[in-house]
Amino acid sequence: MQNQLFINGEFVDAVGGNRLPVFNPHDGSVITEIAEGRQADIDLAVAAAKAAFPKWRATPAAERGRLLLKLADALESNLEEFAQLESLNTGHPIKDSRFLDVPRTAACFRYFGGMADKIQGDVMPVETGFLNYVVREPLGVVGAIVPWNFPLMFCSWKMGPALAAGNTCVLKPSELTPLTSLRLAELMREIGFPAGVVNIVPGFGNTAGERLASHDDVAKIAFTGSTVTGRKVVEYSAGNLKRVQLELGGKGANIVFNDANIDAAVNGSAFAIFHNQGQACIAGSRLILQEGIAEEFVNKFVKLAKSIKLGNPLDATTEMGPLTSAMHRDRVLDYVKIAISEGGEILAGRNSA
Amino acid sequence: MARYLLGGTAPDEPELRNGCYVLPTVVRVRDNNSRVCHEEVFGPFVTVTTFATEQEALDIANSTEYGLGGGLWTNDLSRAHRVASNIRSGMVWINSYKRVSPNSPFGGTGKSGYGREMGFEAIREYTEAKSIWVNVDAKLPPWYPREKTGN
Repeated sequence: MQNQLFINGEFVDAVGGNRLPVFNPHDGSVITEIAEGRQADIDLAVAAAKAAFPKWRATPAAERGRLLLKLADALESNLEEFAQLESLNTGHPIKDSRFLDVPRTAACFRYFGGMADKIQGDVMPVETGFLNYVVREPLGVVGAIVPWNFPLMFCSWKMGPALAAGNTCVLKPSELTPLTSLRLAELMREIGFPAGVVNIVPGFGNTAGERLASHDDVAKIAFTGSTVTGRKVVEYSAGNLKRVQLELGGKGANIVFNDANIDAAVNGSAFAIFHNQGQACIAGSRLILQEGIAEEFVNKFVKLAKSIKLGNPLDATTEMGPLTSAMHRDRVLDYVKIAISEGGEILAGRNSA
Repeated sequence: MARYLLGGTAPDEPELRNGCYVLPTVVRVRDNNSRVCHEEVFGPFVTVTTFATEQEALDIANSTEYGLGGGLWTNDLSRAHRVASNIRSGMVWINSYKRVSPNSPFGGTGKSGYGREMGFEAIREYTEAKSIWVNVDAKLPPWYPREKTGN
């Protein structure tokens, strides 16, 4: 299992020698210890990405695309290994990892691999005698900060378009879920991505993340995570006015009208909130039901919710795994208390009060 | 005092005791002003509210500061498109939920952030347009006309 930082094509220990444990949320056991990147490690990774940028940018777009397509194929060839590792570290049911996380990651790299040599420019109709053409140029070093809820898939959402367009990357996975991104780095090196084009530095937000978001040599920061942290990313980015992209929290409305197909709505709405244990920014976390069907809907929905099989994520019959960290579980349970204190009525959960 | 039917808690099974498990939790809230209708819980926790009219549904749907995803279930074609157009969010799913594809832009509005991932939108996010002007054959009179000095 890969447990070092990936900088400039090499797996290395952290400059300060820091290490951190990575937990299995199913039983709280330690899976492994990994090197913990901090400011000095981010600096090295950004320097490597900066040095690699001119050559990567000049690499024919079709060649950049070919590497991404190879990566998609390699992920599919190693699907079971990636699925197991993702489930072990995040608690995703193995069914989800096999059918959603890994295939979606491969599909995303493939899509942007195909797009790399189709990023066209424009010719603008300006005054006679002038030719005005517009080209789309890469930005330079892209910093990506990805969360713990879909750690593998979000690597592809950030690095797919960034690399296709000719940027180089420094990606910081969450300290909770670094394992699949480090394995991905290994695969990318095998496939032939040049040293420095991709760097993976797991660490904490308030050390590694802050350094990446505030670094003067980073041209853009792409962040997925909480709204609170997103606001900090905006502040850290102000120094060099880097571009910022934020994919933050959500509170998805899910409206069911009287004339809906109720059975389909019940099943789809359960997927909307319970897939990935509800740890999704796009989760349908608010059921908004029209009065005519509310009672029937709630009865069917609660019945389905109670039948969802919780268990070890590595068991193929498990439909819901653990949340990804103990701290987060406690936070969710605190919201149950808040709901009750506000007069809410808890309709599902298997334990009778 | 709320009627407390079933607990949104960790499961009882001994083999899950040391894990970070939470049971699927469904909460009928007293009204849409509840904190749990506005703050992101990020767990297997769903609130239930009811409405009478389409406008009430939209008012509830659009009452949070977030605007990422939203969905609706109906067999009325006109209503489906009308409500989809009036939900304030980056993605809307009709008679479905949480569909995602690399081909289709993904992102939010309001406190869900800005920018879009995936689709060609993503390429715009990771590139910068450069406009290059070439004077091919433009006959421009001088902006500062001066008498020729003879040299």
